[in-house]
Amino acid sequence: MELYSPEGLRIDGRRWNELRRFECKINTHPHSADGSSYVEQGNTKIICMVRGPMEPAMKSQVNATSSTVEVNVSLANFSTFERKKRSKTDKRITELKTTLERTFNECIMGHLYPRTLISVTVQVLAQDGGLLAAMTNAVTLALIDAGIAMYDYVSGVNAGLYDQTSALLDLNTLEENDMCSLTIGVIGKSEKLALVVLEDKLPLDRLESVLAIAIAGSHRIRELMDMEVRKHGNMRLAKVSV
Amino acid sequence: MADLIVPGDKLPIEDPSTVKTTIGPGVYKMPTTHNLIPCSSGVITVETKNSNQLVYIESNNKRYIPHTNDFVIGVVTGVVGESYKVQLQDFSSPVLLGFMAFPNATKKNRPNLKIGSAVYARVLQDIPEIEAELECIDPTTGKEGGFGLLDESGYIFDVELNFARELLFNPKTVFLQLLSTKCQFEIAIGINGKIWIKCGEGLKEKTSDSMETDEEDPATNIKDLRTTLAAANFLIKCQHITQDKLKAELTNAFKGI
Amino acid sequence: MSRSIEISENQRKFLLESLKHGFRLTDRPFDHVRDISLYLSPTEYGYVEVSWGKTKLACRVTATVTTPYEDRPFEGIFTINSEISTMASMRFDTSRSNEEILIARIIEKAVRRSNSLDLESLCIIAGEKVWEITVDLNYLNYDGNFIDVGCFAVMLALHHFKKPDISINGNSIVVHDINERQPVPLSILHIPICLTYSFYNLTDKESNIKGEDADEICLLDADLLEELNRDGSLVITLNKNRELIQLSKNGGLPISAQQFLELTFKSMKTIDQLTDLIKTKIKEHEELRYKTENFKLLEASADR
Repeated sequence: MELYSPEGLRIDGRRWNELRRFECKINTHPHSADGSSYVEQGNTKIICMVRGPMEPAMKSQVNATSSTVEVNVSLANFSTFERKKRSKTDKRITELKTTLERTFNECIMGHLYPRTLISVTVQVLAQDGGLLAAMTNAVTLALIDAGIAMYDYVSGVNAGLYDQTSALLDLNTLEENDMCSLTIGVIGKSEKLALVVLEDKLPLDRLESVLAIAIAGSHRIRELMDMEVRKHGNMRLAKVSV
Repeated sequence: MADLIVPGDKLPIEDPSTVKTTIGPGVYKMPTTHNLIPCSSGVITVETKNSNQLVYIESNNKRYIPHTNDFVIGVVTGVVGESYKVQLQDFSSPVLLGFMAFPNATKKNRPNLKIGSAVYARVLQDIPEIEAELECIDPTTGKEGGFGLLDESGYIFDVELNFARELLFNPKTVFLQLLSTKCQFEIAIGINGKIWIKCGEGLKEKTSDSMETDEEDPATNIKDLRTTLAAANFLIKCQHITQDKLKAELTNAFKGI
Repeated sequence: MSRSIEISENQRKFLLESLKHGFRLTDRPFDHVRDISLYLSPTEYGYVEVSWGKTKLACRVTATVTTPYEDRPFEGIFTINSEISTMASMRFDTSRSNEEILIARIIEKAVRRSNSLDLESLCIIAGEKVWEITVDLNYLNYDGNFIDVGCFAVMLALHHFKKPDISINGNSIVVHDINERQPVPLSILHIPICLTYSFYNLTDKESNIKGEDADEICLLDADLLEELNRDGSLVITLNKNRELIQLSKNGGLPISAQQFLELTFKSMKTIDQLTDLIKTKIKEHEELRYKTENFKLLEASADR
């Protein structure tokens, strides 16, 4: 089974620069959270819920000048191909959680909410590649739904390099296991990178091409998220104005 | 006479019951037997004058314990009730500086310190069971007397405790005299091992008024900044070199300015 | 008891103002690493102490014979233990903070996951006996930047270590003492080196995110004061073959893609220097050992 055929088709029929099916919804849990979202990137499915700004539970979380962002990541046992029990203090989960906290601390206008806590819960229902990217997108949408002041969207996507030559956009699990994968989080329509994670070997001279397609992919995802947010906004506006 | 002494050694003094003895830091009088024993290791000094003997031990540590009447530099870390929470050293217990412990302070007239500000204060109370307290009033005059906010144009750095004592209490200290040959400076020394120093104008904040004179400002701005940093680096290095290398170290620290 | 380091506004302002004018508080150039001092144990194999400025740590490699994992019968076992105790600084207490976990993860990704140590060469009898190599990192003093120093120390220690020679008699193996037969060095496929860049935003958040110019200051190898005041960091791990082993920018101040690419290319110079430093130091040490322990005699008897 070839991951990238000589005709330029991948195993799911996509070309090198095509994103997987991206579906998102916001305000999915209006009663259980201040802001919520649901994101599907291919077969990766993520629910995100945001509570806050609210009173911090622990005194150590109180920051006199800015809000504190707390992220909790939970990977469901059934989210991968084989059922696997995961502990909450798993190193990989801690790394994902810290990355999300530090990314959104920069994008939220924290100085408007001093001494408060913004609690973000990410629940992963299915993993099929691009986990960090999909989580970033889900958190962005949930924060927008919660009405928390932000500078801009943070959209994430991953890209990889097949066989040292071809860059591929938006990898699924099979592709991720076989080649290096670069996940980035881009701010809005600019080329500013909020987060960059590369976990396998990539030749330095190929970095630029992989980065370029990843940035283009992030911009496209931002457009798709923006369309959904505006659609939802217009729907609510229509309900209000008679 | 400069000798090394370690706890467990016998003090090289005359029997205190026959000669009037004054003890200083490092010597402990046992409450039950009234014996004098050394309780810290360091250099022991015994001076005899007019049939009175003075004995004390000079030692060096890095961890400061607050004692009444000490002059210290603290960093404000928060507000607790009617006082500021101030930290004298990394990882030490915080101490309190009351809102009213400033000259001309009233209930309506609060001092203007924010988190991260540095203050020069005097230790008022050091009861071991509760938190120590500071105040920013000179006890003799009731006025400011040099205490209060240390402004942000000066640089703060840490030194070991006996070096701070040397700088503060020795009027002929060779380090500051040598430094004064290179630059003019304002200095505040805290016995808790923190020193605040400013050469010239130190760090000048760029205000909107200085936009017109932008061409010449950068050059003078940096000079004072660099001089202050050079002076601080020189003093830090002084702690660990011998006296004969001082001049060389001074030229080294100030090269390029 | 306060377990934190409080930075006064004075220190912070001096640091940012100096960076704005192009120099660090310690007068080191922005893209230079601190002074490195290395100690390789002359008596035993696999113990090194590395200091970058005042940050110091000790690294020890040990090997034991054990059974391999069931799903990988041809590979040896390689683990890295990196726990920061309060000895390094009072900031690190018994509970593992997020920062410690990140440091351990990055070093693991750089060294273990990238297969810098050839695991198949550790196999003795397939499916039954393999070498288990354990690397223990002991952090002795914290003055910023544990990641880079940690990775460097692990690679140096792996090069310094030699495992005892083995001869196989049917199903049983004989492990020869290091004084009996010359021990064998490990098979290291490539040398990953981590470099941590720290970012500082001199304007406000909005101009950084919305603005066009790249005004962010970028420093290599931050010491304690610089690390406590930074707004973001990026860890780049490269080896001499121009392969990117891993990249970690876990959030923090956003930087432009252009600046990011420039940093990765600029790093190659420092990577080359550090890799050469490891190689020359090991070579010097080998030559010294050869002379002092009269390996010539040992070789002579082995030839016969």
